[in-house]
Amino acid sequence: MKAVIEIKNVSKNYGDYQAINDISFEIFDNEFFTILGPSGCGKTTLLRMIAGFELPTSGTISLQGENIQGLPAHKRRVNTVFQNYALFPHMNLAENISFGLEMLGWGAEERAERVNEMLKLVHMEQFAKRKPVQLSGGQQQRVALARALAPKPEVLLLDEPLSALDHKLRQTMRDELQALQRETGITFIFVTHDQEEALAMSDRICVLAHGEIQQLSDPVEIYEHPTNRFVADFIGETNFLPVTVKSSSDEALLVETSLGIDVRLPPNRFAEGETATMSIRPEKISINSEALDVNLAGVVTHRRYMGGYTHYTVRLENDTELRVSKRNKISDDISFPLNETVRLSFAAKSARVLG
Amino acid sequence: MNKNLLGLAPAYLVMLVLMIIPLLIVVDVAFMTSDPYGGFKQVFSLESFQQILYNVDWDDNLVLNLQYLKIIGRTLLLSAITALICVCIAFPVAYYISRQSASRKTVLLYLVTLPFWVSMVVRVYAWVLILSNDGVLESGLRLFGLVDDMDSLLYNNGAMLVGMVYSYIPLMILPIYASIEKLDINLIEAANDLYSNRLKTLYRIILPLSKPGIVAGAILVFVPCLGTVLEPMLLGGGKTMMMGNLIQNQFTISRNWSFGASLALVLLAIVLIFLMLQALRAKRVQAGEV
Amino acid sequence: MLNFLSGGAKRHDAKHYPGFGLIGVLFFIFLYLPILVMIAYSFNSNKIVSVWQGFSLKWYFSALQNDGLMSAVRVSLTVATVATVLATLIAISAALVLSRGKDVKGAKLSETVINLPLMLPEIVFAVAILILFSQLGVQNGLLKLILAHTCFCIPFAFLPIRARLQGMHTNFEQAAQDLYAPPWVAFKRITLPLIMPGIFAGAMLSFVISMDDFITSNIVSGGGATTLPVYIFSLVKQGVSPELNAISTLIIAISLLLVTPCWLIAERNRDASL
Repeated sequence: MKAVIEIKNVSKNYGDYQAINDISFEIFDNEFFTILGPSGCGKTTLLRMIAGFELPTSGTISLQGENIQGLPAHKRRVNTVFQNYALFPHMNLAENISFGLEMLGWGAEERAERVNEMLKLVHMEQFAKRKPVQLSGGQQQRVALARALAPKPEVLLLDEPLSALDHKLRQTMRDELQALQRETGITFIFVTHDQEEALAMSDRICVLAHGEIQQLSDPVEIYEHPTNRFVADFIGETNFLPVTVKSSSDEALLVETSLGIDVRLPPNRFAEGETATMSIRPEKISINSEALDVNLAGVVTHRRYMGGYTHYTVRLENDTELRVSKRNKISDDISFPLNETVRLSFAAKSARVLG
Repeated sequence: MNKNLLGLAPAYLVMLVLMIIPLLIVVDVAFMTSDPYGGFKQVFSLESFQQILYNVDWDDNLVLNLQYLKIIGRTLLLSAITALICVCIAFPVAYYISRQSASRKTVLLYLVTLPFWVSMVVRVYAWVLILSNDGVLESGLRLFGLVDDMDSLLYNNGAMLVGMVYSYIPLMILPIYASIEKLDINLIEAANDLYSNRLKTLYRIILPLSKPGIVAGAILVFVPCLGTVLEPMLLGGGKTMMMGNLIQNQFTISRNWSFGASLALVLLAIVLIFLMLQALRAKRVQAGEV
Repeated sequence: MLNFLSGGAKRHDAKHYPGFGLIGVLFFIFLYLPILVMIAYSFNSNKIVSVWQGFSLKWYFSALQNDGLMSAVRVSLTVATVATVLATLIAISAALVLSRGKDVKGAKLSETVINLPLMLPEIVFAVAILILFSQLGVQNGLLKLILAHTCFCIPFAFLPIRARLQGMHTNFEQAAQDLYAPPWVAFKRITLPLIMPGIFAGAMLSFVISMDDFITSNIVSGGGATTLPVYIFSLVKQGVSPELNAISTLIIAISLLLVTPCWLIAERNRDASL
């Protein structure tokens, strides 16, 4: 695959504070690429460096193989959808969308045609003459998208564009964004702190924390095979258990857990005697069902009914607490009462050993 | 050349040449000897500062002269009284406006600020028209047979006070209004709910919370009053002077520039002391010490 | 406005203070009665101002034929226009640097310097600039007035523009650059139209402050340039006259005509926030 954006050894310092620390990766053509991380992780800084609003302290950024280091924002063929949309309040929607085309020197007729096309794309044809203040949040969002897509950029940058919308609208916009990306074939770089959003839309996710890449792969890999504690914890929910490696071979990894039992896991890079952390996600643990590789007994201490599923906290015999979630498949049989003794079981291959 | 410097350069140039350098010249002139033929001579002396306190008699002895100290004292006193009267009127008015509907509020605030846009000279003249001998007020009272003949209402401290309150009261209403508007109206109801009556609520809740506005307004009224010129000249007449027209006279009628410059420095010092006290207070308030 | 008299339901409203309404009404009477009286007497045909004789417009005609007045109006308009344009341009440039410039050093100091005229008593400024002009030998009255007015108008033009720029998110300018507008075009097409209300307010304020200035103009004037307030002052010193009432009324009318549309625009703009 062809790299549209290439980021090589990029660092960014603000005085003593290191916002981005020697990052390198590539973003491919026609990809929905998400940069995911908690606030202050450097994701917005990274996006602003690609857009040209900030310069890296060191390292290079290339667009279509060409180093764009010295290029100011207005000469980069990338467009941004801003967090608060930044629609020009003194221009109507058509004028907003037309602005970039005008700057690129398009003729009036071509511009009008493209504006109509874009308005149609985001289902806003009837609002062409409205001013931004007359629109709802979701409509402003669509216009911001249309404006940024109109000049056919090489890459579209989206800076937490859904964060200002309410929950229901956010769900709809997710689908629309994804459809728009497929339709236009433009590379999207999407910045968010919302892991659910990232998992739902992305082709690949780059998890960023403390200015460094924690993991870069597709959503399934990120969720199912997190490479470190941070990723496992930040994305989804999980239980962490301290373990000591008993033996490590090409066939299997045997660890001793604090639960008083040994667990045989798929092979991993750990050496004998090393201490590590085992991560097991709540939904991978079954309650009172058939025996699996690991079987434990405990008492339900806490229960939270969520509708589609129920979260339990189960205290094991050695006082370790495990979080377990169970889908409520049958209406009348949905919960285990508090203080009841239950059996927990999970498959060894569902667990991960992390450094 | 640096773009930032280029953008700020015109403003700095104007302020330097027309404000800062002239002020330094004022300091310089204040320490020069006044020239009996007008202007000043380039000879260092403290004569002009001495003149504020002392007269020189025929035998070159210094004789204490309270004339100018009285003017300085009157200036401070009248400015303080003006600020006080303004607070007493402005607080109820600001509160009254803040309790009106949104549209009425806008109109009332417009009415408060409107006179401010009308020429100051014209506004002071309106009072001359009313208060002068055989003026509108006297004629009106005579018409109803209330008075026969009365002393002139002009040319006294009272007339100056009326003029100053009239000129500067919008500067008091606006900040007080702003701080009352910021006050959460639920607080008044909460005080009421906790068995406080109106008067106690006023003293314990509303007044303390609108203090920033009252202090800001008092400064905004007091400071320009110190240097005011029109009211003492038109309503106070020649006899009841204030610092503003005393200074002005040194440059127009008396042509004693050094003395005028030293008086200007005294006025500047008084104003700066008040502004600094206010800044210190603001800092303490911000630090949460008050 | 008369509902301060009604007790009724308000008696139980803890937020209602009886008497405040009365003070409010008396205050507005105090504020407007002198002006209204003056306007009324400007139509008095009697030469003795305080004795009403009958309705007449004759004082207006004589005012408009008064050469001294007309020349003062010309001086004031010239000074106010030139000073406003200069002060506004200087203020725009300074405000842009202070709120959009990169790595601006000593921004606090710069704002203090720009706002200096607001902090000093005007009489001190007037005296200082008078001495400066006499030292430099500046004779031209119009030039002296323009220089002095430009100086003290700068903060009045600066503050609204600065406030507007600070209230405006830098996102807009970045979005324009992101959409291929070079910095100058982004300024012309986006920043400038968006801060226009601030520029308008600043220019308006400067103009009114300049037109209304008495203290500085009175001390600096001479050299054949008398401004309108200084001229009126000289008339007031000669005593109350019906023509003076007419002139004052005209000035009030013109002020209202200028200020009211500006106020309406400002009110409308307040809702259309950025």
